Amino acid sequence: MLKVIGILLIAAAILWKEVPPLLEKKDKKELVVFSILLTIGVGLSMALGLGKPIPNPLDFLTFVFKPIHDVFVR
Amino acid sequence: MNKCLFAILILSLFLTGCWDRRELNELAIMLAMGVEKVEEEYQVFAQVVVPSEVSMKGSTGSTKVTLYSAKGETVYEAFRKMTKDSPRKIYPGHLKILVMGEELAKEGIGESLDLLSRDWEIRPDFYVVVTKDTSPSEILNTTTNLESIPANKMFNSLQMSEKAWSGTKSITLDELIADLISDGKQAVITGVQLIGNSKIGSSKKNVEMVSPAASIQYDHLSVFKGDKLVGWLTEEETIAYSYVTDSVKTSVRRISCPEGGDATIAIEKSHSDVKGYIRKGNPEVDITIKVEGNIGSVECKMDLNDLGTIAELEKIYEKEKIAIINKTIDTLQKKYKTDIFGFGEAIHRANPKEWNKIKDHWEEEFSNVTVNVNVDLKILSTGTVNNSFLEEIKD
Amino acid sequence: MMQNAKISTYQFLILVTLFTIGTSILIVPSGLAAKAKHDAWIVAIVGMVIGLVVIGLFCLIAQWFPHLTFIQMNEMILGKWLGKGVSLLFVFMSFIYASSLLFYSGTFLNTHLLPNTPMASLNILMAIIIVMGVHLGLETIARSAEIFILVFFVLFFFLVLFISPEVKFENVQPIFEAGTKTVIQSTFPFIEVTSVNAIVLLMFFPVNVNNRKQASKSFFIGYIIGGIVIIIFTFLSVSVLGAYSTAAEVFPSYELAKRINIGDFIQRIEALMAGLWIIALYFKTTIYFYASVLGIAQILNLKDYRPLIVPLGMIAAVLSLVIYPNVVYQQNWNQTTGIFLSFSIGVFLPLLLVAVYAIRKKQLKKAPESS
Repeated sequence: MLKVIGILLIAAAILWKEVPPLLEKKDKKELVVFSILLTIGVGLSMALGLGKPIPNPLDFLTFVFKPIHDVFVR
Repeated sequence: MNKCLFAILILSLFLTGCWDRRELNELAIMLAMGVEKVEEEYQVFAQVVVPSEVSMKGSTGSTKVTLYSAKGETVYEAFRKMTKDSPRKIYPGHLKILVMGEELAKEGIGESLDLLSRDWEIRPDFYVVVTKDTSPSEILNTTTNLESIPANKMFNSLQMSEKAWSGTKSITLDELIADLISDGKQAVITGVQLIGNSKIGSSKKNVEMVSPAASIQYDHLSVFKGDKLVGWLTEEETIAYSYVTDSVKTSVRRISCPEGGDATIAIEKSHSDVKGYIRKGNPEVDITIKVEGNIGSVECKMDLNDLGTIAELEKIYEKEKIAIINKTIDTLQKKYKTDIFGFGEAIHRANPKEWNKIKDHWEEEFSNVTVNVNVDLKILSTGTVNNSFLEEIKD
Repeated sequence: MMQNAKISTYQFLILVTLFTIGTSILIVPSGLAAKAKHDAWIVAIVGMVIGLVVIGLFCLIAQWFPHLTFIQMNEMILGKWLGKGVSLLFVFMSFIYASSLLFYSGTFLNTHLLPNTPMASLNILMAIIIVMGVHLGLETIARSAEIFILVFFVLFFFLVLFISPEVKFENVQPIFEAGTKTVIQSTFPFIEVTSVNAIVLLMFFPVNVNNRKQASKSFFIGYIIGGIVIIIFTFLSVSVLGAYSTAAEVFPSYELAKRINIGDFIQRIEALMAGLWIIALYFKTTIYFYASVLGIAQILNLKDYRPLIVPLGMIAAVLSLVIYPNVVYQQNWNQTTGIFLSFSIGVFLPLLLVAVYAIRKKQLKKAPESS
């Protein structure tokens, strides 16, 4: 639980630091991308903090490059 | 804002190393380690310094080191089990010497060495020795004079005897592992013996005597095949080994005078060159040893002012040295069949293609290698005097 | 927006050098010795020479549109959607590598210096200074690189000086036993880490380099300096530790520093030498991270990349703890997938650009003026 609170506090600090300038400049697009990324970041850190399994992007790459690898190595 | 940040940064200095802090008073510094095999289990010994006894103040006069031991199915397990006995965690970072039991060496040392090369705290620059006719516990139990910490005594006397006498050979862990894995070179480890009464040797009484009841001595060189001990070399053979493998720094050697009696040559410099090659499909090795020395003592009558005498002494030395080296090589080729000199590596360096053909049955090939030994001594001086006063003694 | 940052050619040269040394200094000697044994240093030399060709390819591409970053160039040459797709792959790669380098620094510290410290805290600390660096911008990164390169080379000089008595030439003999085939085969991982991945440098080369003509030259020189450092490290590792130990050690160059012992006086200085690895790793990670942040901003046509830094840093720190379950997985992945990923982005993609550019040359020549 402590970890979750810590992550949320950090996220709040980031929001507090980053959002006002974006609102001021009225950069809507930036704000949207920023929010999405921050959500992913917070989500992933919480999953890690709570010991939930996180899908490994490398396994996806291995899947994609496996055929190429097999062609070259053989 | 900046002042605040600065204050936080300064304060954070006090927070360093939260997880990896290790206070000196929580560590037991191990200087010597022993490994032995007892009934399918490893018994590990740790000779640990007692800090209060080593310091000048507050010494109560008890022994400067203490010995912990534990048994376990792996070395690591035994090592950690020691904390059941020791009040502090054993810290191996300053390890100076590792004593392997003879029985363990005969069964193979490979498994027990893995931990030592894998653990992050251990540095691979300590010496490895094998006990002869005794056990690691007896060796590590012996108190010593002059160097009050036995591990330091063992470390220094090995280093010194190698430098001044060449009848021992110091092997560090990384050298040992390199030899163990090499195709063309087998390992050797210096033997260590306990001379005298081991019962008294372990108490403080031992160091209160002028000549201690028990003392630790290096002698003989153990020969390995793979990671198993197969035999011992005599002192003379050990010196020959040192000459061939170019590890002689200084040494002395008795030779017979032309007309009977003895003289001693003090070797100041030695350089050996081992060249391997394949001649007509057969591996051959040339050993060229260049030695420089002085006349150390003369215990016979001869005229040292004569150039001919010097040349004659050089010849006698060379002849005797070649004979000893040949005998040593013969022992290894015939009796132990193990290539401790690194002839295989020499052939590998010279002719990698041929080597790849013979390396799988190198053990048999080694026994048939023709070795040509060539020793060249240069006597540079006769010490502080010319002719011996023995010349003038009338009898 | 970010095109305003300007770094000098000298600063660019330093960044190239640090990028080339980066991870290679830790892992290359071990990987090379595993295959080529005592000829590992020859492989490094051959690899560096081949790497020069790859660098040449990058310089060729860069000079077509000197005012565009690699992402913008992809769009210009391959068209909007294909370009964006390819760029996404490129950004993905550099982001993965940024987190994998975080993993490297974490494992390195964890194995040798701080074994009881949780890797998460090590990675987060490293991620924080990387985020700070990228937030301050390319100019600041380049200036700090200028200072740290001095520290790096002073440490490097002392390391080489102190370890040289331990060199045993028997360990590298017989020279060139491995044969041409093995040498060529084992160069690929070397080329991958040193030169192929340098494609991420196209994110600020030559756009942000003040003297564009000189920049190509410093790309080459920087690469050669970095390559020589790695060749020296490989040679020292093999000649001091022997081919077997070099291959068996996870971080052979650190083991090298452990062996330093000058007269029982100058010894146990490996913790100081760890500064070398940390400096090189830091700058390489920062460049990867900078490239991925800037890349995402440009793909989405954002005005400023700065808001993305902190959230992405957070994701990178988490990924660095997840992507490699252990060191063995990492080594295995690098050999089977990582190398193909790098080569398809760093060699195949530039060659594709060259081919398309040759076909669309006339059409493209007009485009920059109209846009």
